[in-house]
This record gives sequence, C-alpha cells and structure tokens, in this order.
Amino acid sequence: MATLSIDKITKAFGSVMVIPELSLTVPDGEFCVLVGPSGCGKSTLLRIIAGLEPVNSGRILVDGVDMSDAEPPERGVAMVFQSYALYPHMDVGRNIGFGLEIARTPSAEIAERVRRAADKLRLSSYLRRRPRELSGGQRQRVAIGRAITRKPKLFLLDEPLSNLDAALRVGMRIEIARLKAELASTMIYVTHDQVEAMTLADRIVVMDGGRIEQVGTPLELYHRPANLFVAGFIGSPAMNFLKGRVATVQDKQATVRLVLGPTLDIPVSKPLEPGDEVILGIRPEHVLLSAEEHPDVHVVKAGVVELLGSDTFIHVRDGEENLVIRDSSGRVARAGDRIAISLPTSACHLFDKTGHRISENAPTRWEPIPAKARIN
Amino acid sequence: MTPLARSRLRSTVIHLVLFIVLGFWMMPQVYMLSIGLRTPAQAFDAALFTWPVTFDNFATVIRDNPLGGIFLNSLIVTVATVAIVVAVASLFAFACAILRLKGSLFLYTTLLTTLMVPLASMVLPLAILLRNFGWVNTYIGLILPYAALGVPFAMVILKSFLEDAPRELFEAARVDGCNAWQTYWHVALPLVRPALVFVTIWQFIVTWNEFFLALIVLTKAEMKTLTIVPMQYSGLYMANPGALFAVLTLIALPLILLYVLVQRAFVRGLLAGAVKG
Repeated sequence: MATLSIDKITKAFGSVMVIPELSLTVPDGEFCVLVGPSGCGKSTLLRIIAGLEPVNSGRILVDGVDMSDAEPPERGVAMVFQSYALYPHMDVGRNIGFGLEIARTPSAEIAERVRRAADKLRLSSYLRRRPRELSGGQRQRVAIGRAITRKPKLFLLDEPLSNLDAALRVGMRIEIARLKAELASTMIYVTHDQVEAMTLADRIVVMDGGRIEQVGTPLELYHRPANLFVAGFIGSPAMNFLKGRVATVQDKQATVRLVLGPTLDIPVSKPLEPGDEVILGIRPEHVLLSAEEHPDVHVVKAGVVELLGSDTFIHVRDGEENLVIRDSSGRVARAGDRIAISLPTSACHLFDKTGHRISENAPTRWEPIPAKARIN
Repeated sequence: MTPLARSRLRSTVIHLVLFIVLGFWMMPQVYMLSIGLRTPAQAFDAALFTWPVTFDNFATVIRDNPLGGIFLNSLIVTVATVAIVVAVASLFAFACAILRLKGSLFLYTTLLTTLMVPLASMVLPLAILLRNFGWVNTYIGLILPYAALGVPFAMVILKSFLEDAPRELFEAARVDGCNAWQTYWHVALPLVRPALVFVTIWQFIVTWNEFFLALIVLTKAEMKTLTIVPMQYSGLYMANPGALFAVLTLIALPLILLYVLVQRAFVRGLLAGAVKG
C-alpha cells in the first residue's frame, strides 16, 4: 500500500500535448478510477504512473519519494493490461510467478505465492496450461494473479474488462470488487465504462482532453457534476440538457424559463442576471411522468420508445430540444403517445453557458411527484 | 453433380496439379541421386532411372577423400556461422524493434545496403583483408565473412517478427522487473522462435552450400569444406560424373536431415492466447 502523488506533470508526444499540467493524489488504500472518453489521456496517465512513459515535466511521488525516473519495479507497481499480456510460451503458473522469478525469490516461496494467488483466483487446476488454452475470463484472472503475487505498492489496471463479453464482464467486475476488499491495496483503475467506475471506485477521476474535470466519490459525481462534461459523461442514459434563460433572480434563486416551455425556480450559488443564457440538466430517471392536472406538467409527444424490460426509454423531440425519459413503472408507452412530464427542481442542475455548474448543491434525495396516469 | 462430389473432384484436381509441380521440382534432385548410382557407361544416359544401380561412386568418393575431416570442417564453419548470425541478428533486431535505441534505424538501413552488394565484388577485398589478418586457411577466415554476410537478411526477418509481436508483452516484462537482457532472453526470443528456426535453417543451408569464398580462403587440403570436394571430379581433361553426383548427394544429405529434424520446431500459433484478438 502506498500514497501516490502526481505533481504538476505534463506529457506531450512530439508536438501533441496529451496531458497539460495535471496533479492528483491517491491516498493509501484507495481504489481510484480514471474515467473518460477514448483519447482523454487516462491510459497515458496510467502508463506514466507505471513508469512506462516518461513525463515531460513534473514529478511522480510514491509515499513521498520522487519516482519520476524510476523503473516500474522500483516504484513497486504491478499492472494488469487491457490485452492480458500473458507470456504465450509460459504456463499459467510461470506467468503468475515470473515477476518473482526475475526478482530471484526462492523457488519454494514462488511456488507458495503462486499457489495462494491461484487459490484466490480459482486458477489452481489450470496452473500447467498455456494461455491459449484458457478462456478470456481465465486469462484476465491470470493477469491479475501475476500482479498480486508481487505484493505491489500500487496496483494498476488498464481497462481490464474491456475485452470480455458482457456476461463475463459482470462476473469479473464482482471478482475485482472482492479482490479490492481482500487486498486493500492502492489501486488505480482505468476504464471508459462508467458502470465499472461507479460500482468499483472509492473515488472517480473524470478526465477529458488530458485534464481532470472532476474528482469525487461516485455519488458526488452523479449528484453534483461540476460541469456539463461530467454531467453528460456520468450516468446512462446521459443527462438531458435543456436550453433556458434566466427570467428573474431573487434571494439566490433563479427563475429559469426553458425553451421547452416550463419555468422552474432553481437555487443558484453564483450571481446571475436576468436574460442570462443557462443550461438545465436533468437525468432521464428524474424526469417524471405525471398526471395532467398537476400545475407543473408539460405535455410532449413520445418519439422513439426503447423497451428494455425493466425500464422504458422514451425519446422526445420538441422543437430543437431532445429529452430522454427513463420510466421504470412498467407501463408500456408507444411512439406518438402524448405524455405529461414534470421536471422536479430538486433534481435539476443548472450550468452557465460556459458549462460550469451554477446551481446550489443538489440534494441526493428529492421528493418525486406521484405519477398517476399517462395522458393519451 | 452433388456439392460433395464437386468438392472431391476439385480437391483431386488440385492435388494432381500439386504432385505434377512437385515432380518437376524434384527432378534435379532425383537426377542427382540417379547419376550417383550409375556405372560410368550409363552416366550420360538421358533416362531418369537406369539399371543396374551401383554404389561404386559413393565408395570412390569415400576412398578418395578424408570425408570425416572435411565434414567436420564444414560443420564447424556452418554451426559457428549460424550461432553468430542468430545471436547478432536477434540482438540487433531487439535493439531496433523493441528498445528502439537511438541510431539503430540508421545502422539497420546501412546494414541493409550490404544485401545489395554481390559476393563476387567482395571476394578480392575480402581475400586481401583475410591475408593481412593471417586468416587464410583458418576457420575464422570463413566464419566471420559468412556471418557478416548473413546478419542483414536474418535481421530483416527477426526485426519484422519482433515488430509484429504485441508490445504489451515487453511492457509487462518491464513491469515484472526484467532488464533489457532478461526481456530479450525470457520474452523476445521465445516469441520469435519460428523466425529463429527459419533463420537457422536458411543460414545453415547458405553456409553449408557456399563454394566461392571457401575456394578462395581454403587452399590446404586438410582445411577443405565439403563444397570444394566435387571440383576434383570435374576438370578440363577429366570428368567422373558418377562420383561428382555421389559427393553432391552426400553434401545434400545433412541439409535434408536438418530440415526433417527442425521443421517440427515450427510451432504454429505460438502467439495464440498472448493477447486478446
């Protein structure tokens, strides 16, 4: 276990700056997930932490010791690669124990540590097999086994589940969650899958364009996204963004008139002027299907309807505005249905036109308006 | 015609064509063996096979020459050359493809130019150089030029194999604590084993069969390699085609044996399972 500090590092490939100045501290024992779209620099950052990529400037500190120029083993890192990176000419046992073999660990100890790792990962009966004789999930477990036998200070995982099929991914996600609890190591996990990020992380680092957009616990990011990018990236389906304009501001409460129609009173933390353009964000699961008689309802026409069994995603297009509604009530909507919706202000996020959050702390709990009926 | 019958017919036709091509391809080798087994009177018969066969030519060749010593000379020169070529080429390819050392690409392209130079143009300077070094009639006088001429081609093959190998494997080795030598030894070499086998066979054949430089460098009878032996059965005023082809058959035998032995080492799909894909 170790504390990792990334101090003002920059990284460029030739003339392309992939990580402008970036700083981050991962405390001892934390499971930190780096998440972001493809090309955002998260894998490069992980490789920098591992010592596989040099930095242009800045420092990497492990437990306060500058490791910027150190080789991976000196940093005490172990890494699980996206493509498994198992040595094809070695059997599972030797793959798992190879790092120890190189470190000239006594063979009896290697055998014991390989056995323990194999037991932990349910690989004991595969120790004499070659990687090509294993399934994708088993290969990934071998890659994890190789990392844990070395008892690393920092455990780095680069999209370890992205090559697995959906069913296997769920199983391996649970395995990793179990390992996280057992190992209690400092772990840094890169993924573009927000479900993995939300379910595994103690803390999530959302990255875009080589910059950190927000750092926080999964629920902080979900309930209090710092900007439009984080708001749109965390949550599936993505948060709805509706254009609006400030009508009045009084006692840190802005009355926002949406292009879609409704007018909402939203508490704000930053000064606003009447007439300012704003963007209102609301998650699909927070849009309520409501009774027509309620004063706050707005009637829209359902476009595409996606039935997923547990949920129904209703896509609405109203003029220039697009809205997705997640309905978990089990009622069947059809394309063309007229539906009444309401936007509970307690679940709304307000952003200025530069994309920064301006609404007050959104509560993690809000009172839903009971949905009585759908209007046809 | 049913699809199954059509498929069988197509397979038969393809095999038939392949056997015919193989027959034409093998004809020089069969002819070589056939002439080696003929009496002097039959030596110039146009037929592919003649009767009766005789082993007198082989007996003559074995009686006339200290074949054991000559064979050993060829073996020492060939094995040493192959070892140097494989070692140097694989290390150089590793430095170029994996370590990407500064200047390695320049060295690589410079070495490649030597592939374009014909051996004949290098024989005279080489002979002078070897004489100055005092390496005429020595093993080293053949081994080093052979190795120098063999390295560029072997390097091209091994470099392309290493470049195709997944980079993550070398990065994983680095994370596992391997230094450059350990990565080369434990990861790179096993990964390119099929290419190493190919380079070994190729270099063995080229070196074993080399005649021109051996003729220049080796003048003493006790240092002769096998390829020089056939010369004594073909001259301006004398020819013994039976013995000539018998000795050529003897020269070819170790190569055929080598191929039979090492072709099993072509392990297919060695990389399967290394990475997803």
